[in-house]
Amino acid sequence: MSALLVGESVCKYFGGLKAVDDVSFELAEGEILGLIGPNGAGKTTLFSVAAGSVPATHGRVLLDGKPVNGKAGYRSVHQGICRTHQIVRPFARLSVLDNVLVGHHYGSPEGSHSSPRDRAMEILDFIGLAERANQLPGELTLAGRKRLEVARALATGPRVLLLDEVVAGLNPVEGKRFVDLIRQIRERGTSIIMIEHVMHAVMGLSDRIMVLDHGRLIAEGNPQDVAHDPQVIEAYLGREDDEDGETVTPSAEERHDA
Amino acid sequence: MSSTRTRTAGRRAGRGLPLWLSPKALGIFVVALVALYLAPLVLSLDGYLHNVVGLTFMFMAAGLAWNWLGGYVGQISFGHAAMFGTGGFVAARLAITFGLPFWLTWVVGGLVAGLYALIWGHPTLRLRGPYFSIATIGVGEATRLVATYWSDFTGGSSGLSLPIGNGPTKYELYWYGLYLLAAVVAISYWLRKSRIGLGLLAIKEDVEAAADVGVNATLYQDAVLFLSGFVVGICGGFYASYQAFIDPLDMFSFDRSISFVLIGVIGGIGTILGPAMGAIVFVVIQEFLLASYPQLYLGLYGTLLIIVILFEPLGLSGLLLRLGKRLGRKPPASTAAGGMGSASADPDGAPPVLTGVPGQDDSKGGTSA
Amino acid sequence: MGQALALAVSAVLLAGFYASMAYGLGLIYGVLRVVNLAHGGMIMVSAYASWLLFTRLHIDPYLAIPIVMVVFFFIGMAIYRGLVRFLPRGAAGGVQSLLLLFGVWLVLRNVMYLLFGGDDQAVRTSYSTASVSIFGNSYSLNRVLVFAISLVVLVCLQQWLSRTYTGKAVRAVTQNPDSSTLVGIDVERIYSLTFGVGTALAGLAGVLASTLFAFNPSFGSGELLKSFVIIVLGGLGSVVGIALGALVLAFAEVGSIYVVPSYLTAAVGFVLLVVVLVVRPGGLFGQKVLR
Repeated sequence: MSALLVGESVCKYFGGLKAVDDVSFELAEGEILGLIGPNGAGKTTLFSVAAGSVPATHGRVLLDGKPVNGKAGYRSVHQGICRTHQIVRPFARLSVLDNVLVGHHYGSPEGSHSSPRDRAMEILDFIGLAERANQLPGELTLAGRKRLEVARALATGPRVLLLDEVVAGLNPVEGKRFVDLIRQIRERGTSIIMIEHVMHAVMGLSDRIMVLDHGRLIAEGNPQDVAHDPQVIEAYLGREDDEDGETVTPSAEERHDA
Repeated sequence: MSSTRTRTAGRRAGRGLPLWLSPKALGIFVVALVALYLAPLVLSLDGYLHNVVGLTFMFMAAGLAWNWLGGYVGQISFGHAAMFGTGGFVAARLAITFGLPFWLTWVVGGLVAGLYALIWGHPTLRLRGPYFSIATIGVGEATRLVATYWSDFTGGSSGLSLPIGNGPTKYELYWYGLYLLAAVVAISYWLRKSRIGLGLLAIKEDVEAAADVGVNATLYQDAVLFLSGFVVGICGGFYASYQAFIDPLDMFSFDRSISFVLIGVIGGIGTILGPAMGAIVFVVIQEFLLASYPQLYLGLYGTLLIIVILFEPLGLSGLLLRLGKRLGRKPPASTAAGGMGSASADPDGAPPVLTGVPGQDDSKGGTSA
Repeated sequence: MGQALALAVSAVLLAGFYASMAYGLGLIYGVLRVVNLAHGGMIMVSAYASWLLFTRLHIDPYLAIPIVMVVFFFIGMAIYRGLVRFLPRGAAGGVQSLLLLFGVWLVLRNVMYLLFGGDDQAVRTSYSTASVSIFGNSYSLNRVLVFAISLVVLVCLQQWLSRTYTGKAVRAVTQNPDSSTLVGIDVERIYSLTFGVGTALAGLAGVLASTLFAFNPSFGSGELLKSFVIIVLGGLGSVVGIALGALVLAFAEVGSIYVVPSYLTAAVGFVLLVVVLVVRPGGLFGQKVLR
């Protein structure tokens, strides 16, 4: 398989802080790549760079050999890369259907589909929100809003989907449904990078896993190997004392979000 | 559900209308246009009233154009007098110096005003909320100062008088005002209902999230500001023709900028009917009440503004909406776009759902079909 | 060289007044995230108050300061309790509170117009024309006094914010209203108090302005915009920042006489405002949080 998305020595500094420090990665067509690491490891920053919403300090990200430019976030969406946010950001006064329609209308440069509403409903059907198409996002549960966030991103027709902690904060039943959903998204031909704290989800789904700590890539490989990598264990356990082992359970902030 | 959808789409396609244009809205538009066109010929209005109605059309158009930025994108401008004055003075200059036909002076004035808006707007539109608003106060005041002292162009404090016979009479301006208003209403409707409207709403709700799904917020905001400045500039040209005399102290004044804000906010920000009603209220107050009590106008407008913000953020159109609810009618969809700021923190102010509760959809489609 | 020095001293004296004028706006914005568009109107009303006290009761404007500040403190609290309290705070309420307070400003202008007419008024004391010599140049006594009083008030304010319990509570609410509630601060009381203090500072600025400038009911819009420039330049929370912002603006205005015709000096502030806002989008108060 050829690499679809490639990161070449990506660095992102905020003043003296090296949020992402010399990270290279590859995502193959149809692959699910898990991105894990303790809080503050730089995962979301790497996402922002990969999604083109923030320019890299050094290095670059290539989609199909074309650079993803960090100057205008909307353009990388047209290139075929779309992200979701950990704290969901629906358009609060637009209906669920209209939220998805925004993604559909603006997501791809050629944009129009003969019947956009049908296409949007199809996506909502797939994501499991079809009955709620005319509600406002505020009327959905947290799980519903996370689904909406994914539906809106899917509507842009991405080749690469960046999912930022979509399972975290959900109850076990919802979480399991979401895991199935992500698998189906991949089966429909979308490659995925996912940040996830819920270990069984990311371990079960990912073909490969990358571990970030303090902005650096400390391990990479198949889920089993990574789970037993001493450096990874140290990175997590070393922080366990001061962070209450947030890494395995849904984080507290996500619960507040509900 | 899905059968309703296909049916709707099929019906529209069958009539050859774009998806965003409902036949009912088109019907109302055409009937209203014809009625207003013929009204003066049939009713033989009092001459003064006839002229004031023409002026009201202009204020409606300007209020709607302000609202494209203030209501649709959510960027409140306190500086639209800069474009109103620019349009007016460019038009007047072209008429005086080159004797160009009035309609051409209006269009060129509008274009210059639109370009001017773009020059200051492109950098400032990156600011959101109060920051943008405050920047527009700065732009408006700086423009006023420069215009007042640039007497070679604006005639300074003595202003400019238009050549006699260059433009239409006040009586004829009624119809030009109507054409202008019709065009602006059509553009408003298109901006609201087409897919562009959806993108603008997304920008209003959350610029960054909009960019994350591919909306080019910079381009859209710039385009809307240009269009808004263009129309308000044309309104300035219209006003110059109407008054036959303009002076920079009036055209560029802060009070002038305020009038556009008032028309939009009192009528109902983000709606189409709102600014039109706001303009009527504005002109009625200005022409009839304030003729007798000129010293009261600021206080009156200020009080209206306070009342609207505290009690009915959707202004007069919000009142209509409540009235409609009282009478058991469903709220029109366009109001979901109304209101100001981002919605996330005011759940009570959340407008009604776009098309009602799912499940009722089929019955609704059935009754209207 | 001598002229440059004279201008520099002028700018510093002006900056003192600017800082006291801007602080009220900055305080209210910092704590409530509300842009008090009525700030300029309050300054204007206070100038009239000073004029009234002087012409009717023969109270010297500098002695009137405490009276006016106390009265304005309560006016500010009343505006908060009666109007601003009902609006959502933060980003959602930003536009609404802006328009609401704009309405208040219009009403204030109209009330002053009805009471005192539209003519320019000024406070002329026996020492209005007195001057003081600094570095061999003479400056009007009023300008020096205004500078000194501004300085004293700003230092007092800084001490109040950093030393007293209430001042610390105000700073805590600025940082995070939710957490402040958790630790037992009555946030509503702090909001209303802050609106009062901010308005009292507008009152101070108005009295000081009345000794320097002629004014009429439309006075205040320039003061509002300049205040805004200063807090955008200098940031919130520190008197030093405000003072620096005020200095930059004052020097820009005074220095602009070399560059632009004198009638455009007033436009310098407006242009600076736009430039500052664009170069520092979000201003210094709205730091962008990057994850």
